[in-house]
Amino acid sequence: MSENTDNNATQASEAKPEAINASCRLPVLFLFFSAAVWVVQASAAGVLGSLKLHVPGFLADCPYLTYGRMQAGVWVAFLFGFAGNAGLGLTLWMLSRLRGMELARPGFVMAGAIMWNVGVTAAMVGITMGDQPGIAGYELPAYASRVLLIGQALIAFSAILTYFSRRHKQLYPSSWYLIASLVAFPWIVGTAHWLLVETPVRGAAQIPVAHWAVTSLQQIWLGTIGLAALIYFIPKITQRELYSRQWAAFGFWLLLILGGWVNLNSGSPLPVWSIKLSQFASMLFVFVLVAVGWNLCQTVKGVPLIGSEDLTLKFMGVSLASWLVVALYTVGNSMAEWNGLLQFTYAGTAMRQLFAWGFFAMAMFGAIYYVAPRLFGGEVDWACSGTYKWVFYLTAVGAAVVGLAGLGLSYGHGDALTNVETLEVSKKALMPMRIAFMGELAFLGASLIFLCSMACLLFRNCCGECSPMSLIRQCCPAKVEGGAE
Amino acid sequence: MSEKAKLNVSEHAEPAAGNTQMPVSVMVVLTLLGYIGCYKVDNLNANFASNVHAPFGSPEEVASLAPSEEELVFSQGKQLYANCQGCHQPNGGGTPGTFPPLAGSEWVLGDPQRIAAVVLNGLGGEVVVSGKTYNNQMTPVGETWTDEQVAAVLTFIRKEWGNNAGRVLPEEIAQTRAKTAESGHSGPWTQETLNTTFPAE
Amino acid sequence: MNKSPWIFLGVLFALSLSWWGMVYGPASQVNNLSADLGGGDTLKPRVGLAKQGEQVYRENGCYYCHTRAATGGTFGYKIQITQLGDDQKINEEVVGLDYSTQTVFKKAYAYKAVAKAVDSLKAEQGKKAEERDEAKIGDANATLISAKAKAGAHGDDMEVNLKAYGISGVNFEPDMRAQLGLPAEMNEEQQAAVAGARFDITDGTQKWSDIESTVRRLKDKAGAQFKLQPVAKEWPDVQGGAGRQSVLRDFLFDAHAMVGVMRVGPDLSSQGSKIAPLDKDGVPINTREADNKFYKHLYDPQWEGESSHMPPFRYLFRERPLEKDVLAGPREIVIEKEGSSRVAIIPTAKARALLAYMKSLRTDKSLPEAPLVNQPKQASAE
Repeated sequence: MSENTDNNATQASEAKPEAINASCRLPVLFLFFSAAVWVVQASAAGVLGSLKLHVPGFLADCPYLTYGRMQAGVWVAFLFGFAGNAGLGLTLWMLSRLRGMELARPGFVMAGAIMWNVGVTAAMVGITMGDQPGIAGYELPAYASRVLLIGQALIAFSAILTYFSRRHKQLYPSSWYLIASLVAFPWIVGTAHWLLVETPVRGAAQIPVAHWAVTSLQQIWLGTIGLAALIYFIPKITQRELYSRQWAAFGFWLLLILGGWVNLNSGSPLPVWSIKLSQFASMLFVFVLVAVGWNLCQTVKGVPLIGSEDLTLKFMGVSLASWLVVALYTVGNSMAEWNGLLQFTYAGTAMRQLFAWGFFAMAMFGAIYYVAPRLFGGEVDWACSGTYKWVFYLTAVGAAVVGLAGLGLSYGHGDALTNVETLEVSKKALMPMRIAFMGELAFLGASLIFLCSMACLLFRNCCGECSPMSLIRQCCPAKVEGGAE
Repeated sequence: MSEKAKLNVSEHAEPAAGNTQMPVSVMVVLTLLGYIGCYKVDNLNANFASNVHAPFGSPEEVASLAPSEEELVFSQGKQLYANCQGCHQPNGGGTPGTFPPLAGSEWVLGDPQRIAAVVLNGLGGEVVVSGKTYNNQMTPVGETWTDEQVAAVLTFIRKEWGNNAGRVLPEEIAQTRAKTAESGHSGPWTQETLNTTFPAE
Repeated sequence: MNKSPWIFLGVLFALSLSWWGMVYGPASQVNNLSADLGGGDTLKPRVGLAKQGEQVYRENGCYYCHTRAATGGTFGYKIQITQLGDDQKINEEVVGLDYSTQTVFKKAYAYKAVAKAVDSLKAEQGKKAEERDEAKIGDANATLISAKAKAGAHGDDMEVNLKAYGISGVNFEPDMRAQLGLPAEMNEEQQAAVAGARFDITDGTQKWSDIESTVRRLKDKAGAQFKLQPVAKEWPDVQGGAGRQSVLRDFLFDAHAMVGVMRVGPDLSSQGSKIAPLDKDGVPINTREADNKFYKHLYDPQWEGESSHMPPFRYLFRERPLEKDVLAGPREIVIEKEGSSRVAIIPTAKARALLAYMKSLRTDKSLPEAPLVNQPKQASAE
């Protein structure tokens, strides 16, 4: 690493990892723990929602729990609750580590993190009351997105100060991705907020704008954070060099350019030109796929990822595989026949779930498993760390079930949409979703274990003495008994 | 605290990126695909028109599908006829003795300028249509309606109910207005005054 | 890639590309879209209950399971000549040999020639004796004689005569009609036959690329009037009641454009025409029966034992149990289901708004950019 450090013009000297970890401790752990709380909410609501597909009358008399509102809540809790918190926390830690500088202005981060969570809570309450703006994939009411934008700005302020606190050090590719995610968020959410919710454009114009916002949030915002984690942790833990900086740059710029264009359904009520351009972008996405895939595969050539001993590396392996599958699906959308068959079926939603859980959540779980204990310094007591592997197994199984059900079984639905009568369609539509219910259950299990592990870690190391031990016992009784003081 | 619960938190070093060059062929393929894609988009984009939706492919195709100008004028006239049907009836049959029929009327099917003059200035007194006599007062619309509107409603009554006369153009309405002004006539016509300026064939 | 500020600028630039193409471009294009449908007709925004219903649809997230995007499929084109141009030669060339040898086509031009000769004769006769052109009168008379012979040569097939008459768009004096074998006074049926006369020159299997040049020449040179009618081959959503595909302008006045994600439930883009179909004048027919059917479906989607998987929206209704022989109130709807008690329900304002919104979703009127599909594929057809 020393060869990368430019010796002659360093404005500030590099901080020690321990010092950086210490500076990140409070804000980053706060973000991680909030993420753990939200991911449980997201997966629990997801399971309840899925259950309604089997038993339509279940909880049907309560307007707050109707399917449409729960679905909106699921994605907000995941995207802004879990992904936002975990992603921002990891961004801060990775940026300070990559810059070799202590986190600047952690107070801003704390303020921002609190605002962020207030914003997500407001959004969840609002959706329950019926305030969702009617855009699948971006369900933030205006008041919530305002708070989120301010919260993110406060956190990004600290991140960017940290980033600029030292110059003339070669930038590792992950930091490009992280900076892009920090810049992309206000751009995307700002656009959606002002053009769709606050002062909406004409109805017809909302269709492409909403598509851009929803796709960009997924492909660019989540994509850059998750790929930053992959590109950081895979070489770091395998202790190899990232194969090629050039490949990384190539994939990075193409992702940013194409991310907002792709995946427009050929049956969307939009003019021919938007759809053709989107298909063109989806076709070019193959270069992002190759750039990221080739680069990381060459990096770990000969070393097993998913089969590795190291749990973080296992997480990253599945995460990379999921990303590649979703990218392949995106490329597939450039073919009108393929897209014409799968549009309006569960396939698109399943791919979003695979992206969310298989790629993003996997990367975050793995990264948090690595980062969280280190934030406490040398002496870490993590009673639950042994159960953490179940987070891996359950999430991986869930993602595989959802992905396979979505891709494999949606053909029947797509075929029925074009050929058979209505009754058949509803049966075939539900088939993949019913199987995906098993995946949702696995996600719920994984997130519960994740929350318990985080709770364990926090209580043991922050306030082990003042905290009620009973809570820890409830979390993971077996481990605590073994490791009691 | 047991050993098992303790984690090994020793850190790996920060990662570094290698300097392997990308093969030129990738850029060549990208350029090639980009070129083909641009070419295809250029062929299929329907000139970025906002009114071309799949499965239609070009603005010209969509324009050919749209109703012709004549059909549009006819349907505009149909809407405007709502102002006339109180007297002349929805079926164009009129009311015996008071309001003359439009269906099959030689006034309607004859010289367009003559019927235009009636619509513009109104008509009063006794008139003979298809051999029958009618007597009432017709309200003029020349002050409020544009040439296009008068032309549209005339086109409609000349083609509806089995009438099969040609379309009336806004220019003909303008000519009628000019000819009326030239003759010095103002106010509603009677059959005689009308015949002096716009003689029946 | 090591100058930090460049990364910022680069990211901003890269993001601006897709923003420009997917946000700014379409938004400014849609801003220029007019609500005009031509012929003085305009698209109208939702008002009143239907507008409120859009909010009910939104707040309950109906768009997660229902789409509002009828898609098009494959189709062919039928070209119908409604009026032939004046020049027989050009028309024959454009329309093609197969059709130009047909009786209707030939007769139409014979009638046209008659009409022209009559006009020219009249014009000459209207002049003072010394100004008349004897040569023209002679020509006109010769034309009249030969054309009358041609026009009458095909017997008294009234339908053929009327059609030819219609597509040629010629007016004759009553006595001339009789001489040509046409009825001197047309009855209503005959008038309708003339007005509706159509003359197909393609059979509805041609693609646009096949007919493009024909259409262009019809327009530019032949001066004929024609109608282009797409004929659906595979047009999936026609089965669901869609008259045409959904287009941008269907969403012009939406407060929230909710296209939808998945079709777990049926596509709703033409729900209005199912609940309240149009009569022949294009006015929706509202019936209490259809309304109540919708309400019952909303209250209890499984009430008919249908395999619907929609959750019930009972919270959009006020309800009271009914004893066995008690009559329901005038505004109440009775739900009777095997194995459960009778219930009388009254839709709340939200349910009524939702119904009004459903009725506003329709694809049964053609737009200039999206004509109605001519022959919907029957669901029963194999």
